[in-house]
Amino acid sequence: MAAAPILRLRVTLGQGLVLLGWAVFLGLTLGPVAGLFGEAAARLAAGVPEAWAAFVPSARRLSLLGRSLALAGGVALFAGIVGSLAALALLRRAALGAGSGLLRAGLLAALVLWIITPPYLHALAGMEAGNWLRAALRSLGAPAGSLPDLPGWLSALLAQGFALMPIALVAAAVGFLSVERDLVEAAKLLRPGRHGFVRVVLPLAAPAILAGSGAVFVFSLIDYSTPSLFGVSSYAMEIVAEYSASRAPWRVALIALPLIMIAGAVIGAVLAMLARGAPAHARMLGRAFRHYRPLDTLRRPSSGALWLAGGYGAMILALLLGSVLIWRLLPGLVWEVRHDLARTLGNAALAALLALGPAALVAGSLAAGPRARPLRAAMWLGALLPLAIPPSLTGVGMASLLTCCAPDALRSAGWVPALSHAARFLPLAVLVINAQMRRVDPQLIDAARLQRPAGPARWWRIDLPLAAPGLAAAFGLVFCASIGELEATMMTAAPGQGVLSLRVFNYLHYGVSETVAALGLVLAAMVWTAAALGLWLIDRQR
Amino acid sequence: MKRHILLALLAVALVGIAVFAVRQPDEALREVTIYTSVDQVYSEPVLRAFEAETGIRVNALYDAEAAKTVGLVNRLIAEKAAPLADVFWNGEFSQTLALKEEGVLAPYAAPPAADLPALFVDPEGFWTAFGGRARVLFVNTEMMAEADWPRSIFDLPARARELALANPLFGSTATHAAALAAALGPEEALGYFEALKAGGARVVDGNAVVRDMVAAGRVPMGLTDTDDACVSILKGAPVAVVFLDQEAGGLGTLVVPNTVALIADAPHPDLGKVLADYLLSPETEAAMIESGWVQIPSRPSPVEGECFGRLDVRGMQVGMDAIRAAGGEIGDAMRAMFQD
Repeated sequence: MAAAPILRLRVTLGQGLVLLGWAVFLGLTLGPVAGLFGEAAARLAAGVPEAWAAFVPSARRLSLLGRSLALAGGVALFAGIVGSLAALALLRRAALGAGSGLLRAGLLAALVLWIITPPYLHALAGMEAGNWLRAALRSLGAPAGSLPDLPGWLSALLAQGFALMPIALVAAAVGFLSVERDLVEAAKLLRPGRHGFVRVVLPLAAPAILAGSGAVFVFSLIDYSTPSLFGVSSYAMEIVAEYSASRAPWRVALIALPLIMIAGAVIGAVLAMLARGAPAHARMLGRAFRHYRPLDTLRRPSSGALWLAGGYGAMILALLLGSVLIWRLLPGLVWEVRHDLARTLGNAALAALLALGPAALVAGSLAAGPRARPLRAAMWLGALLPLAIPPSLTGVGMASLLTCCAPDALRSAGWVPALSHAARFLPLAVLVINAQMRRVDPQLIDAARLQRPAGPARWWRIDLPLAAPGLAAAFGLVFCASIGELEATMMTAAPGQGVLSLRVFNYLHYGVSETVAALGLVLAAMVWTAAALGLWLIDRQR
Repeated sequence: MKRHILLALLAVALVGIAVFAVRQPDEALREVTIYTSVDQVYSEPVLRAFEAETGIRVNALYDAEAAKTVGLVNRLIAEKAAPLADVFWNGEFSQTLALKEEGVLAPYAAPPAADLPALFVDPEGFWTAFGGRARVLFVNTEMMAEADWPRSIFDLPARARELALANPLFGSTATHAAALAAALGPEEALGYFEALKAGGARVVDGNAVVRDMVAAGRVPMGLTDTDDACVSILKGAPVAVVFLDQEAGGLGTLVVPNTVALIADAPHPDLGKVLADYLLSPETEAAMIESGWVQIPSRPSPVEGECFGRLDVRGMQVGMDAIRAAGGEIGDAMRAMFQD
């Protein structure tokens, strides 16, 4: 009889924790921009003409938006197709046991570096590779200008497509792996050959593939730097141009609104598709796929896609490691930038730690038992909508918030960028932890919980170890992404407290020089170390 | 065993961070904060030399070209009510004038400015300019014979297809557009850029990209700044610079000086003045000529730049305030033209 109030108290405490997690999550990710939108709404309500001019898109802005959508669509299509085919080829090789452990570790290291490198650096690397090719042609006697440039829009499409492709690749791999093997075998009995793949495997994997392409679409839409490099106007650049011209953050928020709404709608559509398309067995990723015959489908195009992706990755690595000079520069450079290096590591670790608590609570509430569909959809949208916010707007919002409300001591602190990094990458941490939670068999949890009563011991001995791989992966992801973050860092870094990403972009003024390559290598080494530690931890956990 | 290895690694990492990050307590006694848009590779050595000479610690915040002009200037405006910065050292002048309009700057008559030309000192004392860079035509000598090099900016629209330039909405290309508007009138300047665009000029991300495209032979020529050009020249690329409109009575080329200003209500106003004086001294200008950031000295200098030696460049005869005002007049039209 006496247990009931305690139980009620515990339930209330749990709910309170979840509410706190959501409050911190929403406060960090949407709070800074909410302030900007609040100010904009007040001006709209007051009938300020400037506000209405920013709110109602002009014909020029609509046209710009249309072309940005077309570019993002092209990038998503390219990355989706090539990434899915490359995923098929990779899975096939893995299923056949091809590739040593070392090779697979190398592939993983390249993939991690590829994902966290900003698209702008990918584009610059591509440009530099073109310059090398031209120099090689000239040394062979070809006249200058004999290798013409691709049209700007095509260069931007390819640069963004290659830079963002790993997202599509990983999503497609998850999709293919989640297809029930028994269903495939049954379909093959009815219609052998390619039809089984097209009619059964592809439709079942489609939600994950489209989710990956949707993510690529959103990231392409909010990136201004790559199109700008190739002289292509974009709507994301309009946000920057507006801030540069008006210096009014609230106007920037209004200009960004259509972009956020469209990106939000895409995220919503992807979520709806995943909710409709994901069968129950999709929660059981990681099932054995050895001799998984559907992977034999589309062998040639998938091998071609894998070679294309591999060739691109090799080109990036060659540019990073290729110059003999950078090895001579490295020791001195590391000593010179030691303070930036320490702050970068400290900020990345702090951002990951800050993100972990709220992300775990939000992910847990999303993975918890069934609830009303509209509420569930709203929760998912709330968790992923921050991904639709252009990073520069998050930086502007955070800077405005700090200026308005934080004491000087806080604004001068070297760890403030960690707050903005946590704000930017919290949704990714939620996704990773949620994916891990969905992988754990609920029956296993129930069985384990029978062994221990509820309380700290159960949390310590059962819940935490089961969630640990997801937490470690989320920590690693936020840590790695934080290391290369620029836009929000620019607006929140304290004077005298520089970090490596700022230095790299500052040095880019000199093109892809040896110093930039050496600094890139330092960043890469940090990311690889973190990823290796994370993977080792996960492996140990298993 | 593995756990011990992991703990040891974490301990090493923590100790490493502590060793790298911790600063001596006495360093924080006298400090000054500067925001600078001058490239870190040029400005950091100057600031370190200041620290070594004066014992005053400098907290610097550097800009990044990728941030367009969204970075430091907007941050200074956002921080107007409670500034962190004491000094703003800008690699150009237009944004400094904007900060003056926004009420971010404090007046200060710096003693080292006494020997500077009148045009380099704000009559109200809100900013002081010194040595600068010039806009140049950067040509690939393998793609274009010297006899074929354009000599005037007015030669470029007819050969726009061979030309690359940075986005005229940002940076020194925006200042160049504003200077042309001030010198020629807004209509003629807008017509000029319309002709460049219609003629097929390549508009790219920044001056560094223009430089790299010309050096790599992707385009025969581009408009860029002398400091960017200098990087390629020192690397031995097949390139040359042309200072446009240098004939007697000609338009001249745009010279973009550095500007130094104090921030209103700054936390360390006195130390800010010490740093501003140091930056405006002839010695600092000489150091910046030697490092390659400054090519056009604002006063007779004992040193020569490595790339161009001692230059005698005819600059455009328009005031900075006029350029700033003209930039405001053509801003919307330029945005409609290049963000279409």
